[in-house]
Amino acid sequence: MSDHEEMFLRLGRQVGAELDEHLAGAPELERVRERFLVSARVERRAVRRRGAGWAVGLSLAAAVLAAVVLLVHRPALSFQVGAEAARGEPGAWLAAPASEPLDVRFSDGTSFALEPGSRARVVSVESAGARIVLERGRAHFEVRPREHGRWQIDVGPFEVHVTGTSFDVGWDPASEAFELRLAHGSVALSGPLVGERRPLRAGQTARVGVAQGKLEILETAAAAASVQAAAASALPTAEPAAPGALASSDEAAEHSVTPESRASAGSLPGAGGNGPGAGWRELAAVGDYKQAVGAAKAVGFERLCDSLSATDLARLADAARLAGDVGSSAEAYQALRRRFPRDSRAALAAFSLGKMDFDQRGAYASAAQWFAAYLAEQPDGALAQEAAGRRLEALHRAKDQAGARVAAAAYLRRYPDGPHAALARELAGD
Amino acid sequence: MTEGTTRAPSAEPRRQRPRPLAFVGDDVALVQGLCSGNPAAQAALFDRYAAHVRRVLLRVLGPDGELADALHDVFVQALSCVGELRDPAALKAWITSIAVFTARGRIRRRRRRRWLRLVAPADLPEQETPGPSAELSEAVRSTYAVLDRLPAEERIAFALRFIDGMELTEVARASGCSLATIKRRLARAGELFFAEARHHPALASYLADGPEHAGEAP
Repeated sequence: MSDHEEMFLRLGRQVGAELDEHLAGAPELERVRERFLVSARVERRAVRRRGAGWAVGLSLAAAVLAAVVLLVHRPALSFQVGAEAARGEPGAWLAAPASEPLDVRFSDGTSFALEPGSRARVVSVESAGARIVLERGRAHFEVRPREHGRWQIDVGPFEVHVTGTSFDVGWDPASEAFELRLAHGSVALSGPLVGERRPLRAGQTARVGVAQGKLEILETAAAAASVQAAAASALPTAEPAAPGALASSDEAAEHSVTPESRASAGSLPGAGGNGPGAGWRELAAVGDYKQAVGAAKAVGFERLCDSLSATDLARLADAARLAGDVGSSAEAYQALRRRFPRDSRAALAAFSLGKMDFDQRGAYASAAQWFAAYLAEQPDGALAQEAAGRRLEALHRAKDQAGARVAAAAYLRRYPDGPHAALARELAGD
Repeated sequence: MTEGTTRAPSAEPRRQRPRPLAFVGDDVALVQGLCSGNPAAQAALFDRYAAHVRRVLLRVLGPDGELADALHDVFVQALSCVGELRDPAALKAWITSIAVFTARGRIRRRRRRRWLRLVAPADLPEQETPGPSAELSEAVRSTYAVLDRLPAEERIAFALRFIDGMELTEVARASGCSLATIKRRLARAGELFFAEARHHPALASYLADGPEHAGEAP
């Protein structure tokens, strides 16, 4: 054991012993246990509702009693934030990084995706829904239709009352510009110039310029049809999107990310909340990734890859990755890159493809290309340092020593103290 | 390997929810019970590993007001993906890796909050992460003040190896990366720790050997 290691261990032992003492009198273990067992019961009920039907052996009286208890004490929805699925707390500030969107998923299947740089807050959560404030930026909402569902989105001075629908909403506080594009379902909108609870239906877009006193309600269904047709004709064929093959479908992607095309995708089986394949999203939302992938395959994985929105494609790809289904995950990530090359999630997909090639497939040359693709698309992205380090490691393992040397030099220029700096110095021959 | 249930002791305090039936069996049986939704197995999972998980979280996060939430999150996450556990005998290592994953997420969230506070303090809710308690020694507080300045991966590697005393292979498994990567992270963590620790007199007596050795991989 080296001297410095012994030194750190000595300090660590002291710190560890004090921490243990500090914990000795802490009473919270029992409380956490109770909380966990309640969560487990709720999850079991959800699982039973999902697939198994009524539990055998429950008497009618007990069922009625349980129903009454559930009605009186229906637990509030919970929600998870980001790819890490961090538990959301009502009132917490949600800030999407500048380079990537931030997904928020509720336990009833409702979700919203904050676009990069947007800010929001989940103000309150109850069993029937939640109140969300979009402080600035844009967000795509998919509210799961439910009887008595109550969802309210506050956007600047506007209120959007939702029962079950899919829409994009944006607010720019600087220019006081508001926009809501309703893909399907219906909402009631309240606010300046709009009035109280003005109904909007699928295919309509409301644009309000508060500063200019301007209100527009546009019928977008006709436009959607032409956009969809244009997108369909411009969509690339089923060839996988290889690293570097980004530019070919830019135009198609510009069209395909519009809310109108999301609406058309939503009408396909498995794409929307009401289609026969909606189950995969619910299963993924509760962490049942294998079942989610199975459900997606049951309705046609390839078809989903060709029809889902960018948000859902990313979810499907993540679910497959977490289920250990590398092939399906790669298929969905590649579809995301092929169909939405300008979406920031396309770069994240490249990073994930690189990671899978590196970690699961040992395909180092390909991994290096994916990491290079991420760096080309998001040179200042949140994962740029990791991508640069992984790239040089991948090149090294692929025995591309010349490439690794160049990558190492670039890495050291940019991250002289980064976690891969030691390897980079070794490869660069410093 | 045995799996069975017996009646739980009846002397529970009043107003407390009765505990599920006790679970008997090794980790393989426990995983089978979890996969089949057995409530007793769920309670047993917590009873077997809560102390261990809390210890890991505490060492990585430091004294933290969010520890109870983090602990809860680990077990909820474990329950939701236990079906993915390929080697049930490795339950402890698996739940340790979930604890590390959870801690990593919380460290990053804290950083984002800190960053946002710098950008727009007036807009942000009051969500201070409680600092180390006053009853802890200056050495502990200084250690976590230094660790707060390390990148998340280096902080985790340092805490698991030196504060928890894990072996390198255990640190690698818990962190979900290779042994070589962990060695690199530890070397880097050592360098950074030394550089920061200079500003904390309480750490001087522990780190008297000087920084010249700190960069070597263990």
